[in-house]
Amino acid sequence: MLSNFLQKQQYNYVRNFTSKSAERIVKQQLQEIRNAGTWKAERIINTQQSASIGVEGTWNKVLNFCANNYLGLSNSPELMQAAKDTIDSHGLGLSSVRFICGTQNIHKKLENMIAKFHRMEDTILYSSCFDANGGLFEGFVDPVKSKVAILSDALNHASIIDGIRLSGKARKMRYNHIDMQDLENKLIEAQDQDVRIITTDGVFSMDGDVAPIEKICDLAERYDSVVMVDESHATGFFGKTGRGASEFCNVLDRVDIINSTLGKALGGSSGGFTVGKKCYIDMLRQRSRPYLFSNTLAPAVVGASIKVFDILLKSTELRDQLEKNTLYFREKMTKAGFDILAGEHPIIPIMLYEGKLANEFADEMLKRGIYVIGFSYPVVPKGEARIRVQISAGHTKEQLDKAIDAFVEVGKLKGCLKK
Amino acid sequence: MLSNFLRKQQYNYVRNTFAKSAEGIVKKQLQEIRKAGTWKAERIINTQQSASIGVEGTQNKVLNFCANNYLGLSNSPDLMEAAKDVIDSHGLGLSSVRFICGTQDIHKKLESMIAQFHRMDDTILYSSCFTANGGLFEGFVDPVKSKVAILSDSLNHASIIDGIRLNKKARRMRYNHIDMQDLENKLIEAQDQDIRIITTDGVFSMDGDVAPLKKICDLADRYDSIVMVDESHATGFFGKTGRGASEFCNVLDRVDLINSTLGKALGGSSGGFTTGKQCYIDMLRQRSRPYLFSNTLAPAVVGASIKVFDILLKSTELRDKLERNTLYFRDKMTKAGFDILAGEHPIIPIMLYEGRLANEFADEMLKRGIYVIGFSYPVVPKGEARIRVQISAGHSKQQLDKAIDAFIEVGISTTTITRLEPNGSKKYLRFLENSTNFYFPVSSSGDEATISLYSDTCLFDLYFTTGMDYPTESDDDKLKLSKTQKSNACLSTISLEKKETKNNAQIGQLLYVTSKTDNTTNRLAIKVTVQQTTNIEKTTASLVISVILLAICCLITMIIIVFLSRKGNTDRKR
Repeated sequence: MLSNFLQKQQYNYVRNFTSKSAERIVKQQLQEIRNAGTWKAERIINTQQSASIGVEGTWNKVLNFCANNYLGLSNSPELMQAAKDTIDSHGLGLSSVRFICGTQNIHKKLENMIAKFHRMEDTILYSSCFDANGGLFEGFVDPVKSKVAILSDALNHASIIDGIRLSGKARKMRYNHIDMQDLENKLIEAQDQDVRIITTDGVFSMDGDVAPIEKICDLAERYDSVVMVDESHATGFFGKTGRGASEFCNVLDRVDIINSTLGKALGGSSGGFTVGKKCYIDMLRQRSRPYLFSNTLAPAVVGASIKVFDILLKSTELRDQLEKNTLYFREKMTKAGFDILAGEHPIIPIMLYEGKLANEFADEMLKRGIYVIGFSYPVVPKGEARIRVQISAGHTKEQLDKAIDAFVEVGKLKGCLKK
Repeated sequence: MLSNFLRKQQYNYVRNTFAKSAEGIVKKQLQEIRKAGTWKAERIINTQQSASIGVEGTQNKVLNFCANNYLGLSNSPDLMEAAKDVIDSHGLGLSSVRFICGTQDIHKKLESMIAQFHRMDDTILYSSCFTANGGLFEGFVDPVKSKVAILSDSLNHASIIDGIRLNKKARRMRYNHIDMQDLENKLIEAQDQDIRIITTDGVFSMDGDVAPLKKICDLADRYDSIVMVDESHATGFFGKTGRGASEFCNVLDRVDLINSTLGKALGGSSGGFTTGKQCYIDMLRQRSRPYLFSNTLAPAVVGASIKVFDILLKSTELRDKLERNTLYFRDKMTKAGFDILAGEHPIIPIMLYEGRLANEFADEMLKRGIYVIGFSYPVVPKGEARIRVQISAGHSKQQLDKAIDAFIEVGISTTTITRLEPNGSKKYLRFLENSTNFYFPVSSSGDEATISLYSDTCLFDLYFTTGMDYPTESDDDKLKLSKTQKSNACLSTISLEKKETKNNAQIGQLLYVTSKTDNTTNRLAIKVTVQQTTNIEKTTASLVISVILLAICCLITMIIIVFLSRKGNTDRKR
């Protein structure tokens, strides 16, 4: 007590104009980020999101090849009208968590439609898939009562990693990217636990590669494990009828839980969900912290999403258009001599390997009216820098050709084409 | 390798028809939740959110007293129009994170307005304040390079707790709720760290109490710490101009970071933000994981929020109306006799203490057209169950009166509300109407009962007596207390020392209260606090008395001995 008293006498009253240590340290680290060349600047868009957008600082419109707007629905007149109609009928917002007074009839309707689309039993809505992943693992099984092991692919999305970190006492294991042998070994190791959950992205966002979900389901059945797939880069447009990587691998009926987003292909405004067996969804409704302690989904988003699933349940036209665009672009770019990671997904990484080159390439592309982004360390491993192109169903053939021509021009300029 | 191979042979291929263990375990735990009575069921609303809503399963509309719709803006025509206009101009969604192609001019405009409103440098937007809290601590300082200590109030919101948990390398410390001494001790402990962050809710959502932000800022200045306040239950309506608990405590210019939500008072659709000094916001833009890896805010939400801040920057009308409503409701409910945690915030906890009572009370209120929710363990501590009422600027005086009447009506039909106080005394609250007989159980003789009366007419006679049986008219122990003055509010406290009855009954004695009135619309609430005088005190008292008596006896004995020995000496001398 005496030492406390003495210590208190030591500290003088710091006035407001003396900055706190935190400020000084943060400013120093900001400088380090700038020096390292990893500073992220934001470009300001002054139009709707579309295949062709206006960017502040450029005269003409540019073609957008780096949005998750896979089906071109982010400015769809139909969806915009549905959102506006729902604002009129159901109000602007609910100002409440779901279980107090935040559930409207449209929320239940959307949950049913999503469950029906995925051939699952029930759905729970979140404000984003980031939250859905954050709430899943902790809410799934009370970790005190049962021993849980979570097996996660090394390259899973940041939100899954954060969600697993929040799961408290669960045993957290990571298996090498897409390595089924490593996964099997880890599953055997985890047999002493009561519950095992294998979690993987359906499609990985940096490379556009698809997880071997069929093999994962085989292992899950052999070793009694639940399979959770994050279909954020697949729902609505990947697989024969756009039901995701699980459908693409023909295991839609064997996957236990699917997390996905309404904020990419399905309108792009906001929202996420978890869909699966009824008992799992019931448990999440009782336990998932983002669900219990965060605002319910806004009526406008729910209304637009109901319209999207209406469209998707009726026709695969948009998805087919996207597939055609993707095949065309991949083929042309491969023929032109670019190094492209093989695959069928609209995420097309144009490999440039060197970080500085990737950024310069992107700047040159912007000068030619094509908006793309270079990705380098630490977002991707060192020596694997790339430009990640994302194709949309909204791109016309002319727009694709314009992009390809620009790529070839800059490629020749920088000398990155294979002969 | 061989053992692996052998183990693999052990496991048979489980077909899809066999349920996985996880399913069985989850179903069992669902059952346990149902049995424990903590199952949360969702009621479905089929109208817009408003002071008056339609709920599936009830014929008529009900009055909503449990939404965070503090300013009544969740169905404001102005905001709805603004949202629709922005959908037309800026589209439905952006399908992108902020730094790729997810920033529109309206996002920058909203960030400027929020910063201007809070008199800060800059703002960063999120899809919710839950996400803002989740991204703040981890993104704040690269934990590898600097040592960070986070000091968090023990009753902070779940999202702050989750945000802190994500920051593994930081030193995480918790200080007792609103305990400035404990905070100071922890700050001294954390002086070996490079950075200290004190984080607190501005207003705590279960009790509606306000954090002592002035003292926190004083401590932060003295011990070189930054202050982060979560103003989710304050932004827009608390404080002189609605700038939050920081303004309420006059420290808006001393707080470093404010996290708040657009999903409560400010429209209620979605959205959250962090606002503060430029360098902190810049750092979050580079590092905050939800910001870097999650979708940008939808144009409709941004447009409606710009309109909200337009409204708030021009006038405090809505905030003033909410304050009037809050004062009115608190005043009336307190005068009616309810146990309400004191305060000025629109969050008003009506204390019922027992979980089952809270739920039944809420059900009865719904039958009378008032939608409220009972909160019990584990959301609030055991023995502190309540109905949490949230007032809105959208409530009219008639609606408030209807709710107050319903509360009193249900209170009258409820059995005695009981609370075991921390100091061991028991408190009973009972609502009466007209002539009623009832009793309070008193555990043993020697108890003292303090009785408080709440009535809006004061036209009643009260009779108190103690004993084992119901009192008769001719019972000698009866104590009559009557008040006949006519006034609108009546509050008085009587100390009643229980007398022992003729037959000296000790255990299980009862305190009877009879109210009688000629006026058929009399309503009265009685609070009785029964303080047990402990046996220890009695024995201590008797012990002290006996010691004193013994001392006196010894003294007298010594005097006699001395006197006798002197007499003997005198005799010998003769």
